[in-house]
Amino acid sequence: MKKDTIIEVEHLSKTFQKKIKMPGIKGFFNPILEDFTAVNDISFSVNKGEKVAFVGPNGAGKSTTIKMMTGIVHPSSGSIKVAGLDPTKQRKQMAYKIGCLFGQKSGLWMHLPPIDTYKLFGAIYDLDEDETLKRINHLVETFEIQDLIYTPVRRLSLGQRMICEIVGILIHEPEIIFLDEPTIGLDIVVKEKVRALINKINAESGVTVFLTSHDVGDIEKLCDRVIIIDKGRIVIDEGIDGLKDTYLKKKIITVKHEETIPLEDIIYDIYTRKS
Amino acid sequence: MLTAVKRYFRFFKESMKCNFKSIAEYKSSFLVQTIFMFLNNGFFLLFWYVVIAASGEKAGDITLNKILYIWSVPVISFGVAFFFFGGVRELGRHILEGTLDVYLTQPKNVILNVMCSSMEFAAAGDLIYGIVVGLIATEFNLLRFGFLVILGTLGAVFYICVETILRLLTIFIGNTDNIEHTYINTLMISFASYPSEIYGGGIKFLLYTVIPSAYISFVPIDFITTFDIKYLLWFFGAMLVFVAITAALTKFALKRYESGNSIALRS
Repeated sequence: MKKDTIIEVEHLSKTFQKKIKMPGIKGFFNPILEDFTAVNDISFSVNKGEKVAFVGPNGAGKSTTIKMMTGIVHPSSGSIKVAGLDPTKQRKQMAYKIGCLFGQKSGLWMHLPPIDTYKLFGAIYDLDEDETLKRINHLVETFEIQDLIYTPVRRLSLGQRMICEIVGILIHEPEIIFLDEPTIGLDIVVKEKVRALINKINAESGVTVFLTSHDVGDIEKLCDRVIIIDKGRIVIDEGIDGLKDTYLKKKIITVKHEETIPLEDIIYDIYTRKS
Repeated sequence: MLTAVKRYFRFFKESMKCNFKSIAEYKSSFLVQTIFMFLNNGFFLLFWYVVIAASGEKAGDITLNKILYIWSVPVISFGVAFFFFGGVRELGRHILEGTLDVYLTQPKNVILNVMCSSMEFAAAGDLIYGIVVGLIATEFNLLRFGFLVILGTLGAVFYICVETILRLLTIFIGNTDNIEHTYINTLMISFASYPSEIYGGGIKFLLYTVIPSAYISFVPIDFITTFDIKYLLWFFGAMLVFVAITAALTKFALKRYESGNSIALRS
């Protein structure tokens, strides 16, 4: 592992067993077991402070990879080092160094205001009470959520909840944050706010950001680098600028006129301008 | 080691604060469930009182005092297990819905973290009931009552171990709600609710091994009533075995946890 490398993944694979039930009684008693490779021999590394988007279609292996990197799922083969630690063997030690946000799973207690869960997080991450309060105050000011932290989570909007969730994963000052679809279901205004806050925290503390998303805006506005995965294999690993230059050469522009313009006039206009 | 214990104690304290604040959000529900559980247990005792009163001072070798002990020690264990550590009953749901991920990314023991994440309101009724009946059973003898509360509290470990094992099976066989209900309610609690004298050799063997009813009922009660140290050794020895089996299975099962994606809120 190089000095600046904070995540190193080598020849990582994960195979699940899928049960295929054939119709009828025979299928009920004798389901066919089939191996399904969700992640197939992938290797990459991430440097400290980098913001990496890990993207791909549904079922490409994004979440499985992030779950292996965070110690949730054990790999079938290959090795992972996150902040110098092996997630499969040193899950608890590694947990102090990472923050994880799963857009579809809440870490906050639904019936309580976020402030109570933040204090519990302080105890979970072994921060003393003064340190916890200091850290909460700092994050509340940075994220401007003074009016949210005393409202029960169930009464917050999805966007407000997501911002409070992000604060929750930063209480213990992690070195790396893993964000699995952090803007899922959010409206465009809140998405922008979430992106701005992640950028702000990255600029302030140098935290490494590793995110999965389906939203091109997240990738464009948040990340320096994109890793695209498809059918369990990495197909592209490139800087965001290089990706734009290499692959995004065409743009489709839709123009709407107030009055009807005959098609031949438009074609004529385009050709005469070109000449 | 001491620092780790202190840290876990602080974590437990903060978790309990969150749980009690959650209860405060639903005070009426909490009170109703507690009172009804107290009454539910009371009716069983009333039934025994009627049976024993109809047979003179005792029915066979069974005295009312023995019945009071049986309706105190296991009930305290149940109350402690599911009031303070009620989250263990949610373990299967967390596995099925993939919400165990949240706990796996935190630096605390996963099972303990899940256990402390919610309370079962009705179990408060069991806890209070067990303590009140225990005071009557020990005839206000403070030494006996002290041991009754301590062993009753420690007996919670057996419930938690069995519950954890059954819920972890979700990883291998899917939903285990019915198995859990049968094992804990129909077997473990039912067997513990009758005096040990009525059971024969084969059943007794099961109650001291795979269905640990003996350790939440007969063994601690025998120690409290006789102060024979052998029962205490038996109790702690069995506890060690159950904790070791649970820890080994937890390690084995979590390696096979496959997670999942569902939209859910922690409650």
